[in-house]
Amino acid sequence: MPVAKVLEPGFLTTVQDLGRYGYRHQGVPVSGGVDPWALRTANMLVGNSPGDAALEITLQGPALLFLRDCIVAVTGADMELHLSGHKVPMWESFFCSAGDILSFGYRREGCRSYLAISGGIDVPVVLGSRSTLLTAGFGGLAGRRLKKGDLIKTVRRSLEITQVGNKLPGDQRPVYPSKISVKVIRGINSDRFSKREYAKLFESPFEVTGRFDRMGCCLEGQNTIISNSAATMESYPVVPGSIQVLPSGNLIVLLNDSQSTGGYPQIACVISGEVWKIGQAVPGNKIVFEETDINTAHEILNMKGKVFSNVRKESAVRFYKRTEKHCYEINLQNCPEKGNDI
Amino acid sequence: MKIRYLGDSALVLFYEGAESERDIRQLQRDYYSLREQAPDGISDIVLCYNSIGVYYNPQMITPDNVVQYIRARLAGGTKKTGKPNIISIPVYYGGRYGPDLSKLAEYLNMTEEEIIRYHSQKTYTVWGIGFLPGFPYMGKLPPELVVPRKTTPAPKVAAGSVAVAGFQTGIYPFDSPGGWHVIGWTPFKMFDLERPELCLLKPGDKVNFTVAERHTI
Repeated sequence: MPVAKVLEPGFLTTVQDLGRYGYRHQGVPVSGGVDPWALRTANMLVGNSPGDAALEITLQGPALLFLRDCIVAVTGADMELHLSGHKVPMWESFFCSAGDILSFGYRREGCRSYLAISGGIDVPVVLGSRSTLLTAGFGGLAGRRLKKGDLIKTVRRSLEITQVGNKLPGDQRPVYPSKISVKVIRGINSDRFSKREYAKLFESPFEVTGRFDRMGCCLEGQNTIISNSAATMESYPVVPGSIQVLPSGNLIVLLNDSQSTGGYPQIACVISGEVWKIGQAVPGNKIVFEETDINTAHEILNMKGKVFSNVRKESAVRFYKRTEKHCYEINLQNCPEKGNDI
Repeated sequence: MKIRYLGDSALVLFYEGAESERDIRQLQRDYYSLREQAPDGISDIVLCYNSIGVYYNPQMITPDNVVQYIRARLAGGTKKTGKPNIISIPVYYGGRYGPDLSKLAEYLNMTEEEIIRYHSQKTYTVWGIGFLPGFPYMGKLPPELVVPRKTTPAPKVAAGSVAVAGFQTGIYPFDSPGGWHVIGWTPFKMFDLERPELCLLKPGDKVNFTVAERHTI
């Protein structure tokens, strides 16, 4: 039996896991959650494996009707969450019973939220991953975004009530400021830029434009950057995080659904521990680049893994929620309506 | 050969100046050789026109160890690959199948028939797969057909479209936006999840385009 039914799909909601590796030589992008840390955390909060499939929710959230009892957690971009009319917190696992409706309200900051369901979302595994690749129409739910009426299933029927009330401590949650500092490594084609042009990358902030999707995010600077290579440069390998300079002098930062090779010169590359920052940026945000080296990049990546695995259980405000079959004790902290019995 | 960091999770091997057929064959041999015994932690190896991308998981292997693997593997000499596959791909040129052919003819100051003849006369080498699943980068185009890509990409290019840009020709496996000039269309599926070999073409394959008669479809 499905766990939930989609009442409203939201702006762009897809099934994603940690990505599809080993097929880039056939032109298949890695895909997966653009903010893998938020996705992993959501899974860990509900007792799943970090790499289980979850929903990636962009800018505006869906509305889901639960068809059976389960545990849910939402992480990432800060959105107002309501469970059958009652406010519920982000970054914390909560219990949903059959008949509950989870809806998303106003988005305060960040771009993408992740919703994990206990048992992990089940869609067919395509080339080793459940991630949706919209450009090729495979993976996820029939290779497309969620739409009204879709049914969501889980891999396992999992309902360990001890997993309710898990939370990521407040001081370890990421923030999504409007001015974002991002570390980069010198790009493979940086020799196609004069010293003067290369320096422009670090001199002033770049603004996120409305042209952004899962493939890449276009940025505009106060000054355009001009490469000294021909317009028809041969293609080179790229990674999510590669910063390409377009002929217009603007930048595009590639993300998880980007192609595996690219023909625009790559001036720099966002370190893998910070690509999520670009994925959480919304139009109008300012990005400031800062150069770093490979060792620092790897240290940041390792630290990030530790912080985000630090999910712990904290008891705080208690209230009871009665369903026909069960009476559960649920921990909810940071709940604006404290001690509110449902 | 130069090796550079591509971010902190990949390395790129540059074969600059690799131009001749022989250089390109060597590059392809190195590519297949590197793929053969890649240690855990190396997830992907990608071939481009004159470079190879080696992707690794920094939490499983250090870049120094990846470089060591690359050097050791390539120092051992790479074995010759067998005879390349030759694949004939039928193309319906022009009209609604090749919406950019007439404009291209005007731009190049040629007739459509001349472009079709130049494009279908040559045998191309597949240099790499990229851009979209199964999209083959092939070359070299006859110098007469070299044109820059479109300044603004077309919002939708149909799956199966045969297109040219720079000194390359390619085939779109899926409907997608695209900046190449579409001169024809083939019914062949470039990428198919139902096949054991997902992609119709692989690096090193040779490709001929044959002119298909329009009245046959």
